[in-house]
Amino acid sequence: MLDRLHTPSSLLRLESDAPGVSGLKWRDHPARPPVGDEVQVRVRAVGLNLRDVLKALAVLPASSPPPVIFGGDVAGTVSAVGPDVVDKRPGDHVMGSGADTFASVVTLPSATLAAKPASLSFAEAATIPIAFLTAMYALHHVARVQRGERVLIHAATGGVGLAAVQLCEQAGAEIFATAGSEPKRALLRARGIRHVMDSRTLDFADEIVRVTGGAGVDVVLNSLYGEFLQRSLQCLGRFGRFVELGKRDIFENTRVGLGAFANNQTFRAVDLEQVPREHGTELLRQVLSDIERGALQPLPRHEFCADQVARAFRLMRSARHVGKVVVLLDANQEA
Amino acid sequence: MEKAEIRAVVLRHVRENVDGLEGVDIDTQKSMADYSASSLDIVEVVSASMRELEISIPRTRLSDVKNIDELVELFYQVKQQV
Repeated sequence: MLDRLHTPSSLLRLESDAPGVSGLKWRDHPARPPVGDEVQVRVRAVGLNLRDVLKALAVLPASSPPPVIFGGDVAGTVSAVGPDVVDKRPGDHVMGSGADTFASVVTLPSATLAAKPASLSFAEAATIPIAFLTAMYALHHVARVQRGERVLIHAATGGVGLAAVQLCEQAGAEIFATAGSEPKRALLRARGIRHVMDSRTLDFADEIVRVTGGAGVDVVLNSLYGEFLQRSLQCLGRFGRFVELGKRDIFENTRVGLGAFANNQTFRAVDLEQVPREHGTELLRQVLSDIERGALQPLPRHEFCADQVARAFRLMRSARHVGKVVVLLDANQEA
Repeated sequence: MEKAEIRAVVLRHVRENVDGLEGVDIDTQKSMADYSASSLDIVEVVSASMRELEISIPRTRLSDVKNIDELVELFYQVKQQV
């Protein structure tokens, strides 16, 4: 399979027509030539996101008719550009995101791609766009987090979680973090985070009330589901901002009581795909600028080759990963 | 279909989808979460089992299930009605 991914005449795309990780298949799919402001990219690394896993399990509905296709963070080499593209040319190394990037070649609007800093490998680059853009949009654009504020970051060792940890450290916010296993919690404590709790029991809410003397936190970045969402709402202090990053409760139309908003609290859902492209590009430029000057770091990652894509999905499904899960395509190709 | 057959289907999907069960006797009085299955591991076990058994059960009914035995029992009851 991997050999076929290297052969220009045989271009593949990841598809699924049966729910479950075992339903994932690489299938032939022709490259689409770029038109207008589009850029065609030879994909080198793809970052997996929970949305892809939820789509594979049919927990989320597919956004297009079958087969289900997958995509997220991408890093690769420009292979062709549309006539209106002025800032990229074949051979450039780029990074960004798109809905169908689990493929040998993908054609995307130029604005969704930025130049990959030379200091980053393709795999490192694929850890960055969606996690950092989500965290940056949620913390700075939506929650407008201020120095000294308390931020609860759920699932803080995941991709968005670790990006949010870095951004909170940068902003001087006080971090309250949850994670689902003791090794993950130890990792967070080793970073210097004082308030680290279990994301698989509901005790975190009492712990936050106790530690904050009943004041609660100023911002919640929520990615937990069901009762965990409800308890997290109770952790929100006066003028608190609850930012919902999860998909399942939105899709399942979970109800929340308005009593949780009695003290000027706000609930806001974030779906990065709906953020205007220009805004996303500007955020990506900011993140990459901070990464180039060493103020932010690429996320830790687990790497898989294309043949192991089911293992990659399975790792994220089992929530045993730290940081990002990256699938390498064209692993043996020269830069 | 006998309940034992349904149990065998469920246990096979549990073994295929939950890490660390090689050589382990699965106690069906326990929940999959007791064996460190994530919520999405459980989604996959349940949906793969239902597909194989050719049954469909709304998520609201599944949310009351407390352990593997109760899941097998629910599948058995639904299968009897098919």
